[in-house]
Amino acid sequence: MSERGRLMGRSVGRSVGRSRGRTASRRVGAAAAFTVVLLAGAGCSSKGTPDTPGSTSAQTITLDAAKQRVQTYVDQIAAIFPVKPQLVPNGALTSAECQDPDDGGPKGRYDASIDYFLRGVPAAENPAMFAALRSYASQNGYKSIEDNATILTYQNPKDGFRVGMEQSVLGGQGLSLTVSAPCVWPNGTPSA
Amino acid sequence: MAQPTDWRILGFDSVPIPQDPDDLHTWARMWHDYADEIARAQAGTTGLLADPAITGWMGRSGQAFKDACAPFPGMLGTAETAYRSVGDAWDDLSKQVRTLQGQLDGYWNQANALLQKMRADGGLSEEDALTCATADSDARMVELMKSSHMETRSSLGQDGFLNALDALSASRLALEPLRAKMPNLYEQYTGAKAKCENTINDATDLASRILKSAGGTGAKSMDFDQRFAALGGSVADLVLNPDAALGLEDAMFPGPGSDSSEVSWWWASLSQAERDQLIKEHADIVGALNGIPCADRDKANRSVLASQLTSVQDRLKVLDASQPDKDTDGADWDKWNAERNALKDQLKGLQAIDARLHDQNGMPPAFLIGLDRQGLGHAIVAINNPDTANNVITYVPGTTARLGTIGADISRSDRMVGSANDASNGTQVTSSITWVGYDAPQSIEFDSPFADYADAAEGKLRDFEAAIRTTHQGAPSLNTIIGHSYGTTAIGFAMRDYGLPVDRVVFVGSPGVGVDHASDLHIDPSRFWAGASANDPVPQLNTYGNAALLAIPIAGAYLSYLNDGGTHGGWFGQNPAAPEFGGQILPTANGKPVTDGGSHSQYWDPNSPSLKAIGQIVVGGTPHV
Repeated sequence: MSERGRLMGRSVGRSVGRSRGRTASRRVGAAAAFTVVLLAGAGCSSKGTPDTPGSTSAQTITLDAAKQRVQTYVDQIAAIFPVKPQLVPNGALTSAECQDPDDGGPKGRYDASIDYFLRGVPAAENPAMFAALRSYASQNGYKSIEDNATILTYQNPKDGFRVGMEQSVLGGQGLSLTVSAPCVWPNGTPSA
Repeated sequence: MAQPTDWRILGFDSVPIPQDPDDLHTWARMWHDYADEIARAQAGTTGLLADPAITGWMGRSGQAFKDACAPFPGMLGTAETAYRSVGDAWDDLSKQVRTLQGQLDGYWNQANALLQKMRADGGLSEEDALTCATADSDARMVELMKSSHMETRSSLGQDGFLNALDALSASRLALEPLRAKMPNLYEQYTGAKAKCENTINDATDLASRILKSAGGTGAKSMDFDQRFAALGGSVADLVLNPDAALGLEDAMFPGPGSDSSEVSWWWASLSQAERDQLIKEHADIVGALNGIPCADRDKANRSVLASQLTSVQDRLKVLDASQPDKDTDGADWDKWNAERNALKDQLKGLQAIDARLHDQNGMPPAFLIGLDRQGLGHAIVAINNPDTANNVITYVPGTTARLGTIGADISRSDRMVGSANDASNGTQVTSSITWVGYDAPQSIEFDSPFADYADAAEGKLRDFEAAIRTTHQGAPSLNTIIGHSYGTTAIGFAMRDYGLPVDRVVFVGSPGVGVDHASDLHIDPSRFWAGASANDPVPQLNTYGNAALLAIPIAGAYLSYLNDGGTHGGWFGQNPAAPEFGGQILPTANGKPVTDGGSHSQYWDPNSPSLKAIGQIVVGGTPHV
């Protein structure tokens, strides 16, 4: 182990190239700040936008409904493209518990997402495919999350669902479409 | 043609040479095949002793081993000769039996013709004719005729029978020279048989002595050990495992400290049957051994998982049936409650793993390549087989990572595989390994600020990464190690102190990685990415003097205190997502506000810039920022 990483006993970090000579007690005090920062937010987690499915302690759509809506989005978006793609699943519809829910709401809720390869689209048509999604997002008031040469992601502010299209960096510039739901209560209401 | 069954006419009570020469030839072929196998073993042994792994074994024991093994090719050559001589002996016997049986059959046919003539000449039954034919003289023949009143049973009547006596005598006389040949023929047969048996006995004795002295008979292997020791070797060097005395199987395992390439070589040297047996009988050892292919570790660990599930559930049932009274037995209740909570936590993790392994539902296959319940429990779960994938991720989670919480981390691996598939247009297979193979800190306040968890993880991470390289099949995979939170610290320490055999590195939400610059991680900074959400407090723990956090009075005060002059610090060294660190910046979303608890765990959100960027990096691409 290098000198930098060699600590005296069970000392805290800050062992790298700093020589401020903190005392152990001050370090433990600093460690407590770790907790304060993270836990202070947890106590303020009831904020949010109550009319969105992903909102905080208010009711949401159920997880099953979110999964259904994810598929509805896929069908809607697939229909807007100038070249009708063949949808080939990349994995399955998945759901995971929201660790730090994007909307500031509480834990215990789940997101959902599904991913498809868009087959049968010549790479030369990719710009037109991206343009179609941009146009659709603009017409429907979607908010841009990411927009660069290979990734285009929007969020529908009305329900928190996101739609992302990606051009692969390998394998012939193929396209894929990911639709994801915000965090929702499995049964639509805050769990006990 | 079938052999005659009644040989009394030639003086035998039973078939004189009962062996089937074809059967004897089959025996000969079997022994010759065995000799051929030994010859191949001899060639293999000669080659093995010339292998650099043996010739390169230095030191006194190495030399002694080479000296002790030197006789092996010669021994096997002698054994081959011995066993081949057995085959030859069977072959010789087969040929002699075939020849002698041919001669015997010829004589029997002649004798039988004379017997049938006697039956016809004397009007006799088969038995009465045989009595006459086997008499050793005419006088004896007449005596037997009279005593048995043979004339009364002759179909020719008494006069006719008496008129046939001369003919009967002539036939009996003709039989005598035939019978006279029998002793010699039979002696030839017994001689051939004895020669074959002697050859077999001598050869098997010789072979047995060879095998014994070669150490091939297990418990009687001391001859080799003694020779080895006499040549200056330490017998301890021949023992691969300190527990070897517990059983032959245990002794087969490479010892502690063996690196993954040694384990891999050893595993490949076993037959499939041996591997299957070890997986069945020592699943916990096989499942944990770096260097064994992931598919085989998975087989073993699935067995371990099943037994652990049963064990935990059974223990919980016992606990549930024996709850102490909280009011009267407070100390016992506390102990009971602690054990029960710990078991329920582990059960949650075991069940999450079990579900992912068995309920794929359109998802890629999962492989369990590590599992134990020591402490809070550890597990290593891969999505797709790392040994055959084009790209391999090792994902090291941070604070609160343990067996009980692995379900959420496996979900992150699933998402990274999905993102990598998007980035490669499904043309490559990416495996993501969730590595909870270390004791991660569990408390942000009391554990995470300390370095000893990362110190203890270094060696385990180094060995695992080396093993993943060793067991990979075909062209080398593109390996990326990804850390989150304290997981980045564990990775950073290992890279700083050992270097890791990875091609790319991604850190998110890092509290520092033990160095101040990417170049100190023994990897080109162009292959290093780090991301920190603007609202993730952890990477900025030492730098937040801004208004957002100052709005939280206590935290703001602490963070002001921690602020090291606005140099993008970090708890365990320079924040790797800061420009000063010298790596590439991983795009991230801002995440939820710090006033709402911050955004420390949103890097794997579906449709997030960070998840998509990770997918591009692990297949060899470069994300746009």
